[in-house]
Amino acid sequence: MTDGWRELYDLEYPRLLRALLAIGGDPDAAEDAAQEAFVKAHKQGLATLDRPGAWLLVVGTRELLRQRRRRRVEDERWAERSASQPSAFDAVADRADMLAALRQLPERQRTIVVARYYYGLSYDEIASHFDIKSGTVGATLHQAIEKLRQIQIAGHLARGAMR
Amino acid sequence: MKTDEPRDDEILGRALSRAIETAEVKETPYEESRIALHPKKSGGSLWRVAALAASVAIAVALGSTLFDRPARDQSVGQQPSPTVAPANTPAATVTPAVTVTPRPTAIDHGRIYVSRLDLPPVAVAVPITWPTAEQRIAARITALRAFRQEQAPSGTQNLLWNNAFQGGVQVVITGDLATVDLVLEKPWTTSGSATSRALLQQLVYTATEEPGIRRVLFTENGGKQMSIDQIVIDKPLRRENVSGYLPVRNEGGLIDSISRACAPTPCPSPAPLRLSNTYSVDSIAPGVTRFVVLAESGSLTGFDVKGYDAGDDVTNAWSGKYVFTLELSGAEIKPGLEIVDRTPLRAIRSTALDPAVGGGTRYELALDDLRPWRLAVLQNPDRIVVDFGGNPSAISDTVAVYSPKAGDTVSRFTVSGLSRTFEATTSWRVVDAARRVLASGFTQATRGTSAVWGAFQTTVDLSSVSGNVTLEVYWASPRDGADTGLVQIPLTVR
Repeated sequence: MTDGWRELYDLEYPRLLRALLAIGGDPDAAEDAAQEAFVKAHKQGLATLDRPGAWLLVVGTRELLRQRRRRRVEDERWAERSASQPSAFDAVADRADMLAALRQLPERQRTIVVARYYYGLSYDEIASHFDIKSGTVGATLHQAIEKLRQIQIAGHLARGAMR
Repeated sequence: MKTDEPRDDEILGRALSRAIETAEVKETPYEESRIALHPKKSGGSLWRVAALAASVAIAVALGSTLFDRPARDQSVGQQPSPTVAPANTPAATVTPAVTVTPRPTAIDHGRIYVSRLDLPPVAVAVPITWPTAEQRIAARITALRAFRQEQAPSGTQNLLWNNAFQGGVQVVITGDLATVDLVLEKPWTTSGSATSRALLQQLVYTATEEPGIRRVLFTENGGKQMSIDQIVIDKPLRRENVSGYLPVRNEGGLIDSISRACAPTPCPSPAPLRLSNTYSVDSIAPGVTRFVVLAESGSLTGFDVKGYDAGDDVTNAWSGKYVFTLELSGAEIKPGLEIVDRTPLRAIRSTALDPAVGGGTRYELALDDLRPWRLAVLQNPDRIVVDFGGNPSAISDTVAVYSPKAGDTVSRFTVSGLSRTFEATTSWRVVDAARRVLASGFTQATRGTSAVWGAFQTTVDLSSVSGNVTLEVYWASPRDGADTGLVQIPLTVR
């Protein structure tokens, strides 16, 4: 009697959880927000969700940011996690760097970057789902990526200097 | 990553996407999710009902593309035989007024083939009771002539109905070859090369339905060379020669283990691995047969795909022309034989392997012909899916698009399927008749280049376009950027 919920959950939950972790940095908060997003979807009914994936991301992000405003502890948690990442392999270190760099962007940019590059949403979709003027999506993304690149380069240099 | 190329943003974006994808997370299985644990509290609000009709189609499409809806649950309604109802579904055991018939143990070869545009032919049942193989082959061809177009299932055609052949068949069998001579009073009537090929498919599949027969040579009017419009039949044909699929390379011997990250380490000691299996025909996408092995408890640890072998359909009543074998660790809950008889899947047999040599379960699928297959590992719950066939023009050896299908009218739509592409990046673009690119993008599949396929799904919005377009799904070769694994799907944008 899962009525398609299991299928939707299996498809959407893993990437929703990862997206929310990337945006918020706190695994517990990400899990909580992901679960809440599904509960909200469940209350709405599957048939009313036009595009469940994007819908869940929008609602999940909103949940996540609402929690964040309540307790601002995860920045420190993230810092601990990043520091404890094994850096034996550059690939692993690069990925950790990348996620840490993402966390230095403003909330809104972070969300848009994840929606665009991880979820593959189009500019128009991002504009309509996240309530942004469609003309500014491209510029915001470019700014965000530019900043990520600078942080990355700085990170590479710092790591190089420490070896 | 520090070049000034204009595609820099995209490249960094992809790297970021990979970083997010590979982040270590602890996933909550569906069974422990809040929606599974807490019953639904309220339905949708009333004002949403108006939107329902439009969006149901989308939800259904989503449900039936990438994921295996339990196929047998769906098909119970279409299948009168109680034996196909899953015994572990409570509803099945309380269904009233079902007389228990013995479970069939043999494939029913009372089958003739009708054509489907763009897809291999599909069998319909007719009674065939003659004592010799020659008589049975002649009876099937004759039955095909007599099978009225109106009786054909929706989406199929009997191109032999009301055509050149009105009776008169001679069959000679030599080993696995049947030579079939038809009395033709006039040339075959077809409307173009596609229907000529489809008619030939019907003839070849129907004649080779007989166990032991793998090749057929058609002649006309006492041994003269037969032709169907432009197609000259000058040699014996196998089903694979006419199926429309590219030759299947033998990729048996694919062995893989499924590893998972456990956080915190170490992994909890595994529950005993118990497996169940299910299948669907034509519900994932037209022409796609999906076989699923699900971990009912425990986690999948590995599999060994033996691939195709020729089946001995003379000696073994359950065997098809080919048998596809897959072995995995774990014990099947309901081992045994299930006769399916829905083109191209004829039967599923699962056998417990000797514990002395490691145990596990062997699944053998009896199949009608050699179609390309794709194996994917999906999680939550753990399952292995093997897809066979599909629309030949929508699949290549590295990309298989299940949705949309050729000829669909679209505006905003989901592109989904399986792929095994470099770095899991699966690209798409929409071009018009002049090959101008109207839209393009890419998405990440769940797996990259490997023998195991990954699933992908993305949304394309063509709301500012109209007319006839072609959706192309492909990946860029890391060597020279060339389009690789390209499939093209003609669409109409409204």
